[in-house]
Amino acid sequence: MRFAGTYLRALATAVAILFAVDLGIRAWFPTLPRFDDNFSVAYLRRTLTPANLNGRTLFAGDSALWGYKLEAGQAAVSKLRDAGIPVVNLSYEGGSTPNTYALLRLVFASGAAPRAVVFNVNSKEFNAADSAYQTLYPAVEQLAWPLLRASDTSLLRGTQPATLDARIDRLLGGFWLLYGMRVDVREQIFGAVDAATAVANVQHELSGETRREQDAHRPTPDRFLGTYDLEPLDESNTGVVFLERSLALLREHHVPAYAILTPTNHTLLHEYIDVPEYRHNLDYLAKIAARGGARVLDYDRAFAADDFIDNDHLTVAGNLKLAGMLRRDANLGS
Amino acid sequence: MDERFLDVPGSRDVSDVLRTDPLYRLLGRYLASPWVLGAAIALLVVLAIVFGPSADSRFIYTDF
Amino acid sequence: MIFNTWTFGIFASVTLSIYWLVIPQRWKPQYVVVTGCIFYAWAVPAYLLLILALGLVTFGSGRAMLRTHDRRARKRWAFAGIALITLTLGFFKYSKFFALTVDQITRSHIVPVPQIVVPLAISFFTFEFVHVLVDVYLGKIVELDALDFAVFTMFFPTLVAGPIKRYQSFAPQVRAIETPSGDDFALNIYRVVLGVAKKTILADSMSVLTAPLSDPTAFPYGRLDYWVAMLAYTVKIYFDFSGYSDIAIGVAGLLGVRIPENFDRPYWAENISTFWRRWHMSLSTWIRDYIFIPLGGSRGNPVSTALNLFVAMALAGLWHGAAWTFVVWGLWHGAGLAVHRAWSLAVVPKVAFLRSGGAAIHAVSVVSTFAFVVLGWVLFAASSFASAAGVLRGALLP
Repeated sequence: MRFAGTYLRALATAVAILFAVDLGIRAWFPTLPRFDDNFSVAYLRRTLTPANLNGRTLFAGDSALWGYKLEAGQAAVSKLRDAGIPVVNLSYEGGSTPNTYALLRLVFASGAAPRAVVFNVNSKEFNAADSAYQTLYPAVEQLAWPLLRASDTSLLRGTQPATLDARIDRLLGGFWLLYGMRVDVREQIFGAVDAATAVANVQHELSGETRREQDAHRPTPDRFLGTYDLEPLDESNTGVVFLERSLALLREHHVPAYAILTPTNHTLLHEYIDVPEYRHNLDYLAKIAARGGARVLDYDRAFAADDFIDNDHLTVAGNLKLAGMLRRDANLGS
Repeated sequence: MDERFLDVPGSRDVSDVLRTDPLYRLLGRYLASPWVLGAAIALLVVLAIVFGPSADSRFIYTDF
Repeated sequence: MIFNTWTFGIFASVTLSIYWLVIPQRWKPQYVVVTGCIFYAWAVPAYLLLILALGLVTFGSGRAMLRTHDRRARKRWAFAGIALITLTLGFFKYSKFFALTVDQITRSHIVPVPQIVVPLAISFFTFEFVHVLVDVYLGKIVELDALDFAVFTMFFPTLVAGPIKRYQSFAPQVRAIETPSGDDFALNIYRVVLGVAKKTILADSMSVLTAPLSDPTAFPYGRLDYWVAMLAYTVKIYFDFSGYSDIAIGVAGLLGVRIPENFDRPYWAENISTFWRRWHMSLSTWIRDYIFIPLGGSRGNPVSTALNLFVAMALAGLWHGAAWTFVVWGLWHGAGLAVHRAWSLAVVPKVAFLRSGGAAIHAVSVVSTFAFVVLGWVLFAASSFASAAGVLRGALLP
């Protein structure tokens, strides 16, 4: 065939160049102080290695520990790292106890031996209406699902699409680094989830929309109606089940655990959570954690209203304060 | 061809496009080389991946 | 199957490989028909029967016309075929539109609103079928071979979104498929990859910037947001459609078949008439040949020409979508064409500096044409007139 030679040489050239790009990414892509907004399976795989995790204290939690609305370096865990304490922030937006459990399965499957694990217990995530109640972060789900038992997966809602395109997408992402880590690469280059969003962000700053949106979304108590379920928790709650399983996993691997009762803005949420039922559920979770071998750090009422951006995310100053408290209360090494 | 859709002097017929378009004249000259073709394809693929949209990878999560 | 998906990439790669490595020359047309059926049935298998049925109607009516010299019989066959095809289009694509319009006018629910899944690409293959029937009737197509017609109908690169083919230029290629030269092969591969890149980088990624167009009241947007949205949509729609056409033309070329170009730098047009000779060219020439000219074209007085332009462009708008915003978008362009025609016939010949051209005139012409088109896209993108008005108010008023 006349053009077979052309086709094969062009294909070989293209593949060689793409392979070289992959090598470049492998060499260049940094280890980040925390996960990006939309981290990929490929990046997760790179992060969960013994070299990265051995001898360090892992923080596995939700956006509160991740550092919501703050720069990476402003999160409490980043402050600990800056102080020379060997920590790794594995928290992300959308974290919850099922996510913590799945992440721990991945950590131990990699052969890593962390020094300790610190995770936060956020009472809003035990609400069945919470989006992370039964759902794993996509990258975590994709990597961890094969490691989970039937008794785990039966409690969760899988979100991985089963279309042919989605399967090919996952397959390609498994060995083609540029493709698999495209979201992480874009985040590094553009500081946003993609180039167009970066342009949109600049545009919104210039037009004043960012400020208008912030004003429109200023946290007021009515926005949190229904966020916290005050029905008594029990062992049928998915969050409770995975809390217990996480602790069992940590005991099995002889890893000390710290359970933070998440700092909560009682001033903002006064009318919803300053009731006996809220404290009853928090005590229940604390008891589960202690029974499971974790040291409980009750930070629920430890912060003033000024330390919060909203209901449970701390300001820069609040995160600094949290870092100090963690140094004081947890044996994080030095 | 029949009556034009509002005849305007200087407008081009469809068949002129390929022959006179400078992009295709340029491409035709260089892309015959398989190495250039392969490099051009790799470049376009990298650009599409780096500059493409991430809508499908967004995890829909509401923190409030 | 959408073009910039892995599924299509695999489908096209496998199809082309088998086409060139396995299928003998004399069986290539049949193979193209089979792959076209697989491609079309991938979305909703049942609708494959629809396109095949309408194809049979077209072919049967065409052959019946070719068998007789009786003008009235030919007219009856042409009318019957075109009526059946356009009524089918009307039923699937416009019955909900019709029902909603009647209900709005009568402020009631007299006509039940049907929930019909519109068959993939029905607007495109309907136009191709109508073209064949009209051209057979007019004597421009004198032969209708079953296999050639089947390939014409089920040619998968153009099945979803064109370019709208012409039977006379397509059919002769079916039996004379030539292996592409190295140059052609390289250019077509590059064209496909370029189309994917255009669609991914410059079209799909624009969606985040065009949000104000779809719902101007979602946030308190500023004027800059609306203008960015309008320009982003202008970029998006061009690169989306031209990228799609690039993929179609490239894949067709890899099959050894040449199909019409669809875009020729339309945003550089000096006037709206030139714009329509560069934008979606396969559609604009179809509108010209099968609506504008049969209505009388520009053969009558200026008023009738303007009316013909309005009707032709209104129908072009309606073809794009079953909503009044599309019709008004078409009328907007019809008005532009009518005004430009009057301008170039009545004003330009009398004004020396306009006649002489020059860089300044050219620049002003291109920018004003571009602005005209951008404003038109607001209607095209809007979900309602209120939404379009909201965008234009936000963009233009202090």
